[in-house]
Amino acid sequence: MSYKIQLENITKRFPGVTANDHIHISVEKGEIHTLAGENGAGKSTLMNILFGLYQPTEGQIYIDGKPEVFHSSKDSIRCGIGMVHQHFMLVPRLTVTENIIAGKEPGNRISIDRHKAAKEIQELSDLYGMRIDPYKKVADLTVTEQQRVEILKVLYRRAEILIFDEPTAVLTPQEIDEFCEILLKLKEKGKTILFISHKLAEVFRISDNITVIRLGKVVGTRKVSETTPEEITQMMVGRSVDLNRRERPAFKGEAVLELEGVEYKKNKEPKKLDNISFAVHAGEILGIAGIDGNGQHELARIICGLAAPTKGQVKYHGRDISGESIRSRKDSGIACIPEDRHLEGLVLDYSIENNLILGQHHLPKFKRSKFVMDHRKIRQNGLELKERFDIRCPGTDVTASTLSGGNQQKIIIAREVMANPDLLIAIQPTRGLDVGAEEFVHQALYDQRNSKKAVILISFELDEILAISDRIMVLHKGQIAGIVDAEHTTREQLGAMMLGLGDKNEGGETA
Amino acid sequence: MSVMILYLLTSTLRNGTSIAYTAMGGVLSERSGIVNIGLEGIMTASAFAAVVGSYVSGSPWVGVLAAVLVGIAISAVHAMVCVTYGGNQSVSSMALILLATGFCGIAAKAIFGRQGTTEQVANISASPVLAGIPVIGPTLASLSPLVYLSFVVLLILIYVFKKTAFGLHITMVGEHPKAAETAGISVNRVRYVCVLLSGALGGLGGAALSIGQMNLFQEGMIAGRGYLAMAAVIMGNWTAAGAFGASMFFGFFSALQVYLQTRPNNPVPTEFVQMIPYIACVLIMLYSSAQRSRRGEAVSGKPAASGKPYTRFVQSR
Amino acid sequence: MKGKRETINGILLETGITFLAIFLAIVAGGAVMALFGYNPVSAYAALAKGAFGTFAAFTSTLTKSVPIMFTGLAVAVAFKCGVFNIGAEGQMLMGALSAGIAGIYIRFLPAILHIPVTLAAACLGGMAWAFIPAGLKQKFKVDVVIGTIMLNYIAEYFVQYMILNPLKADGVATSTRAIEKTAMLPKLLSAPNVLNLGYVLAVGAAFLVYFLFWHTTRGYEMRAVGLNPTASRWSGINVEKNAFLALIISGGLAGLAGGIEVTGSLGKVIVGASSGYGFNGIPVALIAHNNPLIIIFSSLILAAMRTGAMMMQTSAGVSKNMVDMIQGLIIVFLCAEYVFRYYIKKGLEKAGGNVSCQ
Repeated sequence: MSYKIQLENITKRFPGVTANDHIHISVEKGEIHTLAGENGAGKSTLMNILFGLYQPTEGQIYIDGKPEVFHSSKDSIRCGIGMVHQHFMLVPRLTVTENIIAGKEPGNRISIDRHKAAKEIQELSDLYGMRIDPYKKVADLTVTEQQRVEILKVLYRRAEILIFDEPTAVLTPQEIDEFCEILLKLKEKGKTILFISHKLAEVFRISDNITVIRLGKVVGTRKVSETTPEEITQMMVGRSVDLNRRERPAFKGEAVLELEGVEYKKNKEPKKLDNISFAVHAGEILGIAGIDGNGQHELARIICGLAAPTKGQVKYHGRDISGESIRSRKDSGIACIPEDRHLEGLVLDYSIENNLILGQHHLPKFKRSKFVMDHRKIRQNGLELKERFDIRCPGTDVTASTLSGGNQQKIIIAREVMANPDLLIAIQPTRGLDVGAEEFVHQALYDQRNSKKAVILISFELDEILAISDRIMVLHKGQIAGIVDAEHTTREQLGAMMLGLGDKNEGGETA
Repeated sequence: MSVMILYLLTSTLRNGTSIAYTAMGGVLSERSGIVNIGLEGIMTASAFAAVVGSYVSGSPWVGVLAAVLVGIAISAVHAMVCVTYGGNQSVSSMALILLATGFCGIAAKAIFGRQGTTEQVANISASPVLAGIPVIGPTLASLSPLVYLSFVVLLILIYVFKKTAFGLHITMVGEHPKAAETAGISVNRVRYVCVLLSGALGGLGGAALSIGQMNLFQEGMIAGRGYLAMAAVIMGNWTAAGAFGASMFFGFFSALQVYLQTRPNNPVPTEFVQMIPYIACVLIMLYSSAQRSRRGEAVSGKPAASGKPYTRFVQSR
Repeated sequence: MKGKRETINGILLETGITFLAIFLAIVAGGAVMALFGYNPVSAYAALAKGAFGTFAAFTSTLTKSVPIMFTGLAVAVAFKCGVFNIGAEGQMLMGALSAGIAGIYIRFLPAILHIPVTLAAACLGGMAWAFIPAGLKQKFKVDVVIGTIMLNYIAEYFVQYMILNPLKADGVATSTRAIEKTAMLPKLLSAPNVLNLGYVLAVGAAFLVYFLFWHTTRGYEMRAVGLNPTASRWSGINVEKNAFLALIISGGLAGLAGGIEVTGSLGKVIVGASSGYGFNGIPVALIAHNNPLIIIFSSLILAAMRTGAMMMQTSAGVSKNMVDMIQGLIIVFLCAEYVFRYYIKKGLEKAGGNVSCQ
């Protein structure tokens, strides 16, 4: 029998990595097929190949049994393939209609028939139960609505095959429910769906089949009815998973950082942070959970000094630091592992040793006199940290851009830990890392805590938060939905708080 | 008094037109995400080409055509460096300016046998067809057809951005090239077309100066008009109409400058009068920047991907 | 020293491409000359003779390279920090004017004091002129390119006014009165050779800038800001302050270009004293990839073109603007680096292909 999609022997090599290694996957028409796997397993690469954004190094794609070669997304769109990207491909300043029709406009060459398009979009969205105003600007939409626009964009192009790349990463559990409804409706209408996720709950709810990918290879394909989440997890990680929390030391010191009634807003936009008050103590890891975009970035920027709160105080060791510069905060012992290591964490064209002193380059230990740097000491520091943090590199004088993601992250961690900070803020520190590097990062956070320092971990991965933190604070719409003890909290309770339904707090208020 | 106003008005149009063409070209190119600070060079070369075209053929319209072609040719170099190869847009622009000034210098010497200037050629600084219109006829006729054409170009541009698919594609490519690519729009093709069109418009801008307003080419005659056009793009918030309006604003200050210079017994030294357009530019930029920062980036029309080279979907991390 | 491997591939690529670019520009320039019916070989021969034909010509070329070296350093300092200063021309003029004023009005000072005072005035003049766009950028986010270029024109008219009015020499001259002898830089060679102390100062400045970039904390910060402003900000580096400082230092260097031109060669301020030296700084910096030590040599190339151009114009009849065109061509071909990088990136199927870029 013929499959709707057949991937034969797909291999994709990037400089230094084989992202996909002889992958075989077959999907029937009207099936919801999940690709599961850890970060960096190669799922997204595979889907980008199917969508024509990457060309495979080897292998063949068959659609409806016919071999196809996609040079660009244009070719795959012609074959009825559509992709909903993890990061939305929308222009905020344009309307819903404009975003959807761009590239496939109705009307003649001289003018677009916007009303016809809007009508068609309205009909489509009604058909699948997505309430969307086609004349609204995308900038004014919520995340869920934006995702619907993405789906409509694909449907508008008459796609028969829909690829979803981690669609639920940005949604609350309740929104995920609605999203699953839409997926099932799509299936009902005979669409074939490829779904990338590593959140097993929803995977089991809607999928027919699951293919697990690890380190670029297919581990196996299972029918949902014949497998268990445990089996899939084990396949994903390659060994039995150790999500058991490590033992926590009883030590809890005094408050290192305290926020009091912090508010943040920009111009006329709604408040990004509202009445945030909490404390982090020496010897604890405070996890900050929440769905992306609920104020985590703003909070991190305010603590590090990149943004100033519009109201409230940030106290560090009891001293109000809300007016202090980033540097003076760093000098007094606040360190930060930023979210985007290429953009925020490293100067990629600087050597490793230069990156290892970034932010501390002005300290006397790297200088010969007030203005002159001491390259010998910088080299020495580089070699020491390379040894201690096992940074795999040909030498500390090569540029940071030549290293793998995991080693780049090690540079940042080595640098920030070397500062011996009283407070370490890690924002999504394991994003895009493989399992080994992930463990390394987690160990570094533990070490910080065990040496009686305060740690804040901001992550969108509930499992990571649950496994690492001592206490968990949940942010929802810029407010504290609750602060709970990690040991006595379940995923479900956290999920409820992330939706703003929580009530288990120690002083924060419900949204 | 009314003579003065009428003079200033027509002179504003005359002086503003060359800037306006170039600024509208700048809008096209910047809206697609390519910054060109070499507009000055495009204007220089095309101003010269217009004179040569008119000189060789005897018809100023051939000059206009030559100017447009030269504008396109120069911007093609810029497009190749910036679009295809993802080069530094400022660096490439500087090359254009040097190339253009250099080329005009040698060519002027080779063709006209003089250093730094050309002979006077047939120009199109008036529209005699319009002279028959009662009352305002003579005034209208005293303006170059290129002035009127600039309004037509403006209307076309407004229409393109508002109504056509291509306009939508430009916005898409300038704001979010990845989104455009995934929607099946060729980012590079749109950018090429925009940069080439901006070269053509810059060509018209050069021609509007050398044979629309004057009848010869002189070294240094562009005198920063290309940069004023760039400023006009920013001031006009990256819209065609805004840039056009801002250009006319600069046109007014140039007109004022000329007017004050020609007045007898002017108490202000000439040099200070000559500074007026440039000082006006700085002050206006100051005002519009302050305005923009007060109202937040959200209202700024600056394309999100402006100045950033786009490499087709490659593994980013 | 900066890490050897940090840029080793990059340096090889850069040097190779730089020479290739200069070569191709000369060839293409020759083609253009041939197109217009000139004999490129004799034109280039005239150019070379004009620049290096005699020892006197050579010293004249060296002397001309002084202001270009300064403006090249000026552009490079700003560029390293991510700021595009195309206002070196205006800053140089203001430096020349300040030096002129200090040279004319300060009297009875021994040379050993008068020279430093005059040069300091020039430096301050350039800095002050750069302060305007730098301040506008920092306070109001006004585009630096537009700010600096507009101030070029304003400086041009302002300096012209000052020369033709308060500082005017008697008679119909388009220059100021001569500056005091005590403000003149000592000559290093006797006539007809023309080298003066300015050359030593320029080379010294190049080494100073090199030291600033690679041995000081400030230089470390400036380069970091130029390469990645966001990461610099996260690490506590004040991005705006560094960009501001870079532009001010840049202005100071450009001002010195003017000051040394006045105190070393001209002996007075003349209309058009800068005559494109400021803009020459851009190709000079680009050819040298913003490396201050290489600027010592790249400024020589441009200076040779400038001195040779006159000879080329008089003896081969080719416009001296040919030189501008060759500069433009060099930059265009330098952009070939992007072409190479593009194909390297594209063809990279194995690891390790590191090309440092800035």
